[in-house]
Amino acid sequence: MKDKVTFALAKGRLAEKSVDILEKCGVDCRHILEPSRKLVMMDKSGKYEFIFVKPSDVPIYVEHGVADIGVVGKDTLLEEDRDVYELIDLGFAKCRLCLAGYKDTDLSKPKNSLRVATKYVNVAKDYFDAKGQNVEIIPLHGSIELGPIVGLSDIILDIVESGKTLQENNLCVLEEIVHCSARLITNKVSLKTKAETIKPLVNKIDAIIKSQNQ
Amino acid sequence: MHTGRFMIKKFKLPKGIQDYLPDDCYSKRIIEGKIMNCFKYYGFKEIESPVLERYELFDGGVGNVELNKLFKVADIDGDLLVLRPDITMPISRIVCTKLDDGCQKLCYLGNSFSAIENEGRLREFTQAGIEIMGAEGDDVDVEVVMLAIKSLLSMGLEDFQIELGNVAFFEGLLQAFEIGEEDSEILVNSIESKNGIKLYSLSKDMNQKLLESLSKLPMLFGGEEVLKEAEKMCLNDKMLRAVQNLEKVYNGIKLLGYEKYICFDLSIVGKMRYYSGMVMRGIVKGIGRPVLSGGRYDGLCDAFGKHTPAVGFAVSIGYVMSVLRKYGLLEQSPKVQLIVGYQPDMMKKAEDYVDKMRSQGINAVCSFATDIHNLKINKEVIGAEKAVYITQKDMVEC
Repeated sequence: MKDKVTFALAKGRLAEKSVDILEKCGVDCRHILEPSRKLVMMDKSGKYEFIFVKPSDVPIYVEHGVADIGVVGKDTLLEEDRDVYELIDLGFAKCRLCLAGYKDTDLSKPKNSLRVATKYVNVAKDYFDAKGQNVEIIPLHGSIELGPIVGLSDIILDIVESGKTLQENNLCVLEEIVHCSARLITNKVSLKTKAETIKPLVNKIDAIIKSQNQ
Repeated sequence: MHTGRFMIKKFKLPKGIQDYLPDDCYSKRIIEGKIMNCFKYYGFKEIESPVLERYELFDGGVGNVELNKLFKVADIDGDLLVLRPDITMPISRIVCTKLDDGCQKLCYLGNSFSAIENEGRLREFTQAGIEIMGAEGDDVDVEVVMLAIKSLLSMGLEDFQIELGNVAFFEGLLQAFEIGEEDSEILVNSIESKNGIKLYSLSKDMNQKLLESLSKLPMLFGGEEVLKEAEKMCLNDKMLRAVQNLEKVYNGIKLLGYEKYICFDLSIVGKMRYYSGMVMRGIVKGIGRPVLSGGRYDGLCDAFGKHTPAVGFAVSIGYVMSVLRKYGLLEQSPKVQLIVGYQPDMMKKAEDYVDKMRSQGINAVCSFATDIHNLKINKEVIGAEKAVYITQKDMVEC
């Protein structure tokens, strides 16, 4: 019997979109989206197993090989920098990683330490290191936009989708760092040891994404 | 009296370090014994290098150990020392400075260190490995791949693959398009992570033909058929020689009847820049990381002023243990079959009896219990099958 293949998914929109694509590939798994407290579920054929984890943990499960495949935002991948294969740009969950703050904030002024509030501590460090700029990074876990408003930080580094939250708080995008979207990642060993299941699936998904883009 | 935080620190290990308690230690020694015996059976001589080395050994040159990952220690005179990050570099040092010229076949078993928990590994980890130094040619590579297979088999692993690649294939491709150092580093990273997306975004100012070849590379893995594909992509002698090397190695292994353990991945391009030719990884179902890695690194010894071709691999004993445990294949320490207690003054009689039992192959121990009640407790704790209490007159089973 073939080994089952385990997917790590984050609940919410990423999971919904992933299920859409998997259904198109012939994986009968719509039911995993039904409200439930179960953390582990199977598809109808029993070939695929799905585990639901926190978005930022998806690459960790895949790196350790307890999940073979995962769907995760590029922003999370940049922040976590895990040793996995990043195979396909799935094209959904598009957003931008940006520096944001009050309109008149001067980023170029060589200030001794610009204070940056962010969830993306590693991305911020890499970005400002590459620019050769000294900054003080303030790690936060949510409501990042509050940083400049309450004076905790000068700017923030965060994902921006529509920009509405920024607008409503009188903040704006100061600099765009990178465009992000959902990615299909696999464990480096599983791709080979479970190739008979994973390789055809990856090829199907790739074909679907390519046809959508045309 | 120390209390609170100080006491807690006293009990706690530094992060990424672990103890091996008797059961685990027993299983670990068995595995280590099996693989080292295998190496020695094939004529490899064991060598031991110190855990501490000078920082300079790893700084600069082709070693390309990431310096921030080195576990550093300050010597009494201010010199910087390093807890070795691997054993290949120290062996190269020894071979170039202390051993005779000519082919050396060496093996080792020891602990290496990393300042940060690296690729899911503990900060102290055990590796067993081999190096063949001073010999080149496809046949040498065949021997190393063969030994990799035999050594994994010797430890009881079955469902594994040795994945082969050749870094010269990718290097040749870059040379064909005259790609500079900086760009090639970006490409190495995205090929290693099979990141077709990144390649695509880099493509704006990239030669279309190069992009075509590069985008094929990440999916260039699988069985023998991969080599045919790779051959079609060759643009110069270097690439062709790389593919031919893999073909010859495959044919060699096939001749010996072990080709079912071989597969290929041409996208192993070597983040570790010291590899110069064939590269290999041992992958096993049930663990998300390679249990074995290695390859050819002909340039490594240049740092010691002596060009010496070299090839080798290292096996992560910890990962092997995890896999064997997962499949219930770890050898457990043997049960105590007999525990012997004795009346005070009966030590001689008890020791003689225990010795006699041991000589019959029974796993027997003496107990320090001085009465039957305590002996019974001892028996339970130790999980012994049988207990015997010796008095002046007789022996009582209890």
